[in-house]
Amino acid sequence: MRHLKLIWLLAAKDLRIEYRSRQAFLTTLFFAVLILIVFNFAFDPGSASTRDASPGILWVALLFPGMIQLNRSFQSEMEEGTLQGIVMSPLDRGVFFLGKLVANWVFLLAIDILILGVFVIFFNFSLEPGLLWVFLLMFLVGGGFTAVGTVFAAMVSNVRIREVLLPILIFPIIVPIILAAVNATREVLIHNDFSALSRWLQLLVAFDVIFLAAGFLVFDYVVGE
Amino acid sequence: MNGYLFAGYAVIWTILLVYLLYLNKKQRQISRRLRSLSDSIRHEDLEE
Amino acid sequence: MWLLVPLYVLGVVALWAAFIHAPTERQMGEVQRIFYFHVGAAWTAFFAFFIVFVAGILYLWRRSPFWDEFGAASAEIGVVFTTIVLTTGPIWARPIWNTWWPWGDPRVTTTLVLWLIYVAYFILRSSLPEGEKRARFSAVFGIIGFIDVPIVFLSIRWWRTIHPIVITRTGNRLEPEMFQAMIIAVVAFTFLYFALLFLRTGMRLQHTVAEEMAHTLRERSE
Repeated sequence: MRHLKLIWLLAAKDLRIEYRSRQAFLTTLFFAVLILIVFNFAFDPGSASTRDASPGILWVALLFPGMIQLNRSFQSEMEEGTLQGIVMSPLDRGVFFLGKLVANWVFLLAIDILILGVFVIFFNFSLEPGLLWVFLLMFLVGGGFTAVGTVFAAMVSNVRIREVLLPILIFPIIVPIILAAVNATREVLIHNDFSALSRWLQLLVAFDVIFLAAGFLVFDYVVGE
Repeated sequence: MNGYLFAGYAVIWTILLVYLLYLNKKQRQISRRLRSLSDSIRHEDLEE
Repeated sequence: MWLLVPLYVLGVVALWAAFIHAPTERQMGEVQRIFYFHVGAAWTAFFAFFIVFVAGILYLWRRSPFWDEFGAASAEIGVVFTTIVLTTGPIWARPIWNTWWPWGDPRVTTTLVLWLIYVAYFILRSSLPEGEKRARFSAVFGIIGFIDVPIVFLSIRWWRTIHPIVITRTGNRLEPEMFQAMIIAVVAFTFLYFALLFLRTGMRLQHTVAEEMAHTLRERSE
């Protein structure tokens, strides 16, 4: 259980850095809001088809800033060259992976909740129980996304085209959770059909478990020799 | 209908052909490289 | 090279089977004949990715550059075959279902995602300098990608379905000659895959040798 404490310490360190200079958080948040706004200009705001498309818009607004943040999460390691130090330390690399993962996950959740608020305002949704299910979806999607994303972000941390490369690597892999997220959100917010939810939730949980395990096992090879 | 069928097979053959040509080109590049390298080595040995 | 003779023979047999042996198709018409080569390419494309996965694991375990080159060669052939599947698919789909791209169909869209993963694999490789790191990362990405493919398939299946179910669990709705033609095409493509795989791996290894020689020469002249 000493490991759990370590994971929490690592995550807390990263989060504290983020908190001190809130610039990153606010900029990422701003970017997400911009995406929502652009889509409102891109589509006819009043029409039913836009409303139907809105879950997709929500998740696009969450995932793209999420990628930017993932890249940034390894930036300090890259700049300070501390990645080498971590490799040589007695710290279990799996623990390091989980620490990064938790930090990214929490950061993402914070953004998610705020963006959900903006989304409700822009797309005229009422405050309903369905929103709680969307929180759950954000939690689960965040897990899978950060699991895969942390591994890949570590891989591309030293590459010049990492801003574009990270999405290229991540998107094909997270297709299942995009489908699950968007469709479940649509069921819940628009169709008010909660029966179809369980299937998507199962998929998300399975995806999270599988890729958390896979990421944990494989991270050794990404960071080490 | 038959137009589509023809197009389908044409596509398959074209893609395979293009790939084989690509492989051929790569192979020639490698052979050329190896030849020039072995020439350089022989040259070096002669100089010693 | 001993593979070449059976390969040519198989190729001819497959063509014969697809065009002559198999009877004229039911409602779909002549276009359906694409199906044989389409399936052959599709099976091999996914198999090639499985090999990339295995090669990745073997590389991480053994650390021999051979497995890296082997995996990359398989991926290269995989992309080519996947491209064949993705291009023949719409050509077949359009006259029959009146749509170029049936998104809801799990097999079609999963193949598209497979193609994306293959391409991402190569973009990743091209962004890294040759060496141990590139091999390691390629292996990791191949492994994660392969684990993902079944999940993608399932998720799309839960989304919607239209693809004609040709081989059902109870049997197949194909006439026996058609089934034979399909199997022959699959075998032919598999042979083609292995021939290309060994050829390409050999080429990649040669290239590595050449690089090392050039490197040694450069060092010697300093």
